[in-house]
Amino acid sequence: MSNLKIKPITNSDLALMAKFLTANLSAQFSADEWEFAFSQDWSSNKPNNGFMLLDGEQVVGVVGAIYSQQIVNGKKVDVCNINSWTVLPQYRSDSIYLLIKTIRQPGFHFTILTPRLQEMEIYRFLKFRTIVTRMIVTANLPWPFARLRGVRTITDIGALQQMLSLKDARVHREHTSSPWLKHIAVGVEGELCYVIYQRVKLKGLPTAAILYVSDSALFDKYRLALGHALLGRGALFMRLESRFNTNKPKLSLLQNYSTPTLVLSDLLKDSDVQNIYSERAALNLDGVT
Amino acid sequence: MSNMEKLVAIYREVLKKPDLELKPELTARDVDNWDSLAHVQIIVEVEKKFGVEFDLDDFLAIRNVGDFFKLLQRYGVEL
Amino acid sequence: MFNGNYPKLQLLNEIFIEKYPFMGSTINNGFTAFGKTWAVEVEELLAAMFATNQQLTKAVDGYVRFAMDVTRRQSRFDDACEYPQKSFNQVADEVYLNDEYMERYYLPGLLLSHMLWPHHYRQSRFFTATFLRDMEVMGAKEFVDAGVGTGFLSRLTLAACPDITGVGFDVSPASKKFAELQVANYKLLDRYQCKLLNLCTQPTKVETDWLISAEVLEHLEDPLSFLQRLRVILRPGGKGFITAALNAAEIDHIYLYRNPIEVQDQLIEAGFTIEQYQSIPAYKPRKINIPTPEVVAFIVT
Repeated sequence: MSNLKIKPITNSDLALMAKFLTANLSAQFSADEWEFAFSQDWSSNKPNNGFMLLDGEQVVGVVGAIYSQQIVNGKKVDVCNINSWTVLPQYRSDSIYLLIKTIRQPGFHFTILTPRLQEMEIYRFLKFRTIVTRMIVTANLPWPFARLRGVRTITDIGALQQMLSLKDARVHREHTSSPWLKHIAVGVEGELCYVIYQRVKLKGLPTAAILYVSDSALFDKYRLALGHALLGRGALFMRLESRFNTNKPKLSLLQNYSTPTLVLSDLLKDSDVQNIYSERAALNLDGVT
Repeated sequence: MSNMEKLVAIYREVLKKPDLELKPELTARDVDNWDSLAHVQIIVEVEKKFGVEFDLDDFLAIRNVGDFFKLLQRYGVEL
Repeated sequence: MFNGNYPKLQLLNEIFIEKYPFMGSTINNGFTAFGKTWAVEVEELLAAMFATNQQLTKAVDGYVRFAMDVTRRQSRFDDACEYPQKSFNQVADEVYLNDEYMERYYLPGLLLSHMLWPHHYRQSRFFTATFLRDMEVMGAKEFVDAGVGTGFLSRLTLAACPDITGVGFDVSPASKKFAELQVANYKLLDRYQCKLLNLCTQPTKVETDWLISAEVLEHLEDPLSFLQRLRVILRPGGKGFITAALNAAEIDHIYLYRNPIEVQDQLIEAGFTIEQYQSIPAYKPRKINIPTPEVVAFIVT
């Protein structure tokens, strides 16, 4: 580490960081898209955007951090989502210091949603817990009884803001800037299940990959209405991680999920670790909208 | 303050270069802050300060500071 | 420095550097921010619309004049915070019906701005990522573009949805001609018609499930009435992409929107509901209390 230094990534470093990530992690995203991903305003306690490893003035490595304040079981929790850990090959021996610097920040609960498999040993060494999850894939079928039973489907921004709980209205507000995220609520007044999904292709077929479910019991209750609404929006299937809803309905498939989810927290349970407030929401990872 | 001093002050202020020397051969290529926005800001400030209004085609023809001197003289500003 | 095999983009870069040094970083900035996807799109656009070097040079001259005119007006707007008083008819005479102005400056300028101005490019990405993707997924069969301008969004739509047919409307004969040319140059004209019509005043029976109206509202004296007409054109259950420019002092901007809420309120008053929106500033605010130009796009039903 003699000539190297680690520096927090400030907002004015974002363009530099973004350029580095496009060049060295994934050119699938332009520097503009990387910069957008880290410019989210999800926490008033955001200390940085991660850390970068510098050799002189040259950026040779970064680890990205997306901070958010989430309501978990009625309490405000500071979450730091770690992602985009990238270090040039000749500096790899120092790369772990970036992670250590990040997780030593007090007061945060840490998540990693898109780790590379070859890095898993390092994360385990740093005491991250692996969440085992599977994907439940269900066909969306026509269900014309929704209206008869007074079940509404809401996608209007204004109506969502008015009708969702305070917590979910905030979640909604904080995720409207990512155009690939779709927002929908189903249910009856006072009993709405709010869902954020993204369109993906599953074996070439249009599918709603669900990132967020406000209430797992309500999700079960209104699953058919939701499926009907998603079908009307062109999604033939819906896909949800089993940790958010353990009920596997009839005519559904279980898929193994190849990307593990990692968490370093003595507070967050498996189902508390959200896919929103992360690179999964801030970047169009699946490349399909 | 002479007209030339006023002009230098405008360039320095807009381009955020307090030591800039205004030589006739100076172009936007030589100064890193000199983009299209700065270019227009210089023009607008000069228009305000000297009470002139340039035709758009005239100021698009400016390639360097020397061209701008000539243009100003054409609009009756003594330098 | 951008790299890759982009001969037209390379030439565009050289013209900027040689002829307009104050715009010399435009292409590098675009490439650094938006990468290869952007470079490929610009290369295709330049090849389709300005095939010869002479055509490209002429288009760049038009673009630079257009862009500098906008920037100068914006500098004046910084002091007044109002658009100069103009009627729609005045603007129509000065701009939309002035073929020479439209063909030399306005249309090439506007077309290139879709790619060269970061906020315009980001808005076209938003259009592609949301509305156009919805059209593809839902198998849209037809669309209406109310106020085609250069025909940019009509062309993107026709290119993305191979079975779709479209109708565009505009008040400007030069716009109609330019939009048709763009669509034809991408070999899509067999599925597109552009008509001269003022949707604010002239009756039409056209209806659609997919409505585009980009950067029209700020050009009107009474945008709310126009939105009410659009509401009738959009069938129940249909979807619309409607945008507006805020605090952007261009030659033909009449109605000053100061923030996205003002547009949103008019959309709601006209009977639309809003599903998604994105507001994109042209640049980071330069000074406190000076409004920054912005584009805002709404997905409505």
